[in-house]
Amino acid sequence: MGFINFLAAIFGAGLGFGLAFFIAATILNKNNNLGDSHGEDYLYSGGVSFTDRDDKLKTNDKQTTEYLAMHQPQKAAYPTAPYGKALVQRPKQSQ
Amino acid sequence: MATLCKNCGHALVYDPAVKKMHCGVCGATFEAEEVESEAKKFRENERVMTRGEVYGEDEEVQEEFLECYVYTCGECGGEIVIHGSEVSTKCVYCGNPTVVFSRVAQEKTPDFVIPFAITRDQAVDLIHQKIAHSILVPKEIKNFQAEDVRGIYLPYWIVNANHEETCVVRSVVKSGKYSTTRHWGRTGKMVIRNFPMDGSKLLSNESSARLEPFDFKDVKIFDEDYLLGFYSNASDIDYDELHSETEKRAMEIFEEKAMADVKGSSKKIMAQMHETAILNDYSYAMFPVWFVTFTYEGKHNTILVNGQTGKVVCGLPWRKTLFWTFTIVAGLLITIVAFFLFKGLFYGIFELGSSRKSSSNDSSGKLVVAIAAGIVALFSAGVTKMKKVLKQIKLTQSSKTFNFVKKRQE
Repeated sequence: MGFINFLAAIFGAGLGFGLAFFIAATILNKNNNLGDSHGEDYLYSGGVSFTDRDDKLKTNDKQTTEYLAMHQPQKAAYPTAPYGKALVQRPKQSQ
Repeated sequence: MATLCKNCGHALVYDPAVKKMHCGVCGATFEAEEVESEAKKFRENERVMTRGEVYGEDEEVQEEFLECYVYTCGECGGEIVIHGSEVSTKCVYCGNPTVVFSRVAQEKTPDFVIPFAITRDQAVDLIHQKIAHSILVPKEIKNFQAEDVRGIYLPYWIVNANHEETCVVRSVVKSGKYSTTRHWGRTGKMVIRNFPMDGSKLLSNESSARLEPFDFKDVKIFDEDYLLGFYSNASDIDYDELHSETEKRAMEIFEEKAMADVKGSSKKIMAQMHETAILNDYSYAMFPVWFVTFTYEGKHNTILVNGQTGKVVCGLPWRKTLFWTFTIVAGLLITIVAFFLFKGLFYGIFELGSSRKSSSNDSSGKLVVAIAAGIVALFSAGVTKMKKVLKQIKLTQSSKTFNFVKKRQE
């Protein structure tokens, strides 16, 4: 019985203070962290179009590496914004 | 040089309340696009002098006026020193909101602008309303007196991009009594349109993302008269920064969708490869933000308000005593109740269970482990939320942002 009381006290305290801390932190986040959101995905994207799905990958590094290598995205073959340390400027056609 | 009222000749400012140019003296209002003035032509030809040309190149001067430019006010002839990437301000001597600097003409005029729709007073009221009923916000903050309220147009790059990514997602899938870890491969692409990327180094990317969304239905073709009466900054980020931030945001969207596309719980991206191509048709825009500063317990705080939608963004200091008192008292009460519940449960498991068969003992053991895991998860979720708040408080108390607002001329 002593062991059961001890275990119940440990678990009770864990749940009690864990739950109380979670509630207090949730209230704190709601009260003091204002504007905790950004633009929704649908504002900027028409959604993701999946071109390949593999639901049976084995849990090992080799399979992961092979999957990534097989579906490695290619660099764009059309004009894109330049890279580098120069300050961003409007592209020429829109000026 | 000011844009002057056609009726009385006084300087015009843009008034968000009526969404027009407004003369503070005779009360006349004009559409920004219909105001044609000598000022616009003057600004295009205005010569900007570097710090060195005006004050010389000796080291002391260089330190004092680091990255400054010197302009002459078109109204009173006063000398105005402008820092870093500022574009418009007010003359420190005559207070004219005139000075939309030649920088706009010289450093590429923005394509678009979203004018301020929220007035200075509305911005402050919105903050007060938001925190009025927040029990964990100290009274002094609820009744704060704003030290500086600055309306600043921030530069944004509006980006279109194609994003392709392949990733491996790990998840835990439950099947009957057992849980297994599974790996899923997902490859796909998405088109991103009108993605607003912060073009200023002033704000952290996180703060500027939190100011979103801006509503593009109010976008206007850029006219510098919209800047009158406000402050504004030119973009000061480089191409690599634009690419890296766009990639980061695009990956967030893609990976969220990829994780939603697989079964199970505790999902995590294990590995990924991606290509994000920003199309060469990006445009330059200015979006309105109110910066409201106040001091609490010796620390400077800057609250941001989206100047179009009124969204308030900040992390506020908290009543620590109340927080911890609540946690301890509520913790003790729940502990007492939980003690008796667990006592009954464990009595059932250990005392009565010993007479049952071994499969029952197995499931009892699992139940105890599940309860322990649940308790750890509760603490961990609480800590995550706390960390989020503390991070936002740090951003709100950033001295970089505060000094940026403070040094703007009244």
